[in-house]
Amino acid sequence: MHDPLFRYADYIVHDREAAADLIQDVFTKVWQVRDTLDPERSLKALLFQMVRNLSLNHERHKKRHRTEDLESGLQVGSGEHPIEDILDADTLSGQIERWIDSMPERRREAFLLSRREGLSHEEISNLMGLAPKTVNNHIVLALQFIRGKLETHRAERAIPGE
Amino acid sequence: MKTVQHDPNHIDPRLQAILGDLPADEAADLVEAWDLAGDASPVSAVARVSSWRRIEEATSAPAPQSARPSFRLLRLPSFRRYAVAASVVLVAVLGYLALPGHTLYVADSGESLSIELADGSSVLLASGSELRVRDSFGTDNRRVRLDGEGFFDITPAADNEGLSFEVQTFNASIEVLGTAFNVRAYAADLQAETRVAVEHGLVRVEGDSEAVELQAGQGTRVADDAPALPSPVDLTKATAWRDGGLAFDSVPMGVVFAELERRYDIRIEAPMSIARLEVSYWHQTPGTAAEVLSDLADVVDAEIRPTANGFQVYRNDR
Repeated sequence: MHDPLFRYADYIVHDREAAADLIQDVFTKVWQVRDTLDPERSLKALLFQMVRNLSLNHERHKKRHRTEDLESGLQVGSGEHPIEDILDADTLSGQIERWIDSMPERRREAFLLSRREGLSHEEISNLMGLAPKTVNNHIVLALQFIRGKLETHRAERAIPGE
Repeated sequence: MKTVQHDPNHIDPRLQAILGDLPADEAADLVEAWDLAGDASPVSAVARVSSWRRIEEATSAPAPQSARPSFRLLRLPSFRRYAVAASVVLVAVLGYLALPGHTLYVADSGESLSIELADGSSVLLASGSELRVRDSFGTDNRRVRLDGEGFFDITPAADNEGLSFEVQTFNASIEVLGTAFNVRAYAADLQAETRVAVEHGLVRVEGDSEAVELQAGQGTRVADDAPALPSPVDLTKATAWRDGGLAFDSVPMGVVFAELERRYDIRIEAPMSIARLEVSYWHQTPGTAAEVLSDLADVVDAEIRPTANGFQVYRNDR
């Protein structure tokens, strides 16, 4: 459960150190209220929802302040994953990450939750407050976007296939 | 480099559902994009270990008093094995990534903790509260992170190379220039909010969307995005906890229960129908948990009975 939540936070905040902090907050919070949890409700849904709320709060706060928070100033985690960018600069998978990063936020979120974390349309639609149909549209548009980028990328290279 | 086997005859059933009513040729175009975008980036060992470590710190029973070393094992046997393995990884990789450390101060349930910080400021932590202080505190920043409640007596910025003191909570940050103030921010509370009350000096409180400045004798609360307008605050009540008092003004009963759990180190069971009820309660010298609880139960027409580790609050069916 930890890794999907961590990645989800990271999809939104683009900062691993902050994501780790947020996950800590989520687990701590769940731990503290463990006695009052409703066993009828899905814990997975609750965890994803908490990660989402805290991550979006974090983003709003960051956008407004642009100041360092407690965890920044680290070479790991601040900014846009500099280490991987260097490692992946030339690979196709590195390109794909950057294309995904450049999608509109909600589209990227819906797409990654579906493709990488394996959430169902229903789970995503509850989580993001979207109609299932809209979730599906986001995913299809995301795929079309990647497809388009791939074509351009290959045309530029003029060497088909990796 | 990644290799993706691309077999047009086999389409992931999940993708098939997504592509549903697209024309076949259009759908086929998207299969490759789906396959290529599949790799979740691995969560690095460092990130995972440091994250688990903090979760363990936050959720396992803390050692009383003292600043604990920032790495501890969890009790559960299965986790323990993991934690031991993890600690090896941590030692192995921590050095070269230079992940800065921090000290976690924990005031356990049933106790409070007095802390002297490197800059001469002091903090009194209420029971069930945590304060995280980076090792770099006092050098290029004076930021701390609070989960819970604390009373801060801060040395002036002028004595600290102009560095202002900042307290971060789960939804707000409080910036100070040498002053004494109270922050209450239990993120797990039923009605989670950050409350700030200033004894003397000047404090700036920032929510996600707005900020306000507080003078001595003023307070504010951050429930959602923005702090409420500053209003006069009863400091005797806001800081009553320092001398063992309890003071609540129109809060859900669940918030009071959570405070009693921390204060008396007990567990309180209550249905949400009771935990949601709004109460006010003020007592300078509250007495035992049973006395406080029965006072509260009277107010909402409920009963209490002792359990193995605390109390149950319930209502008789009418």
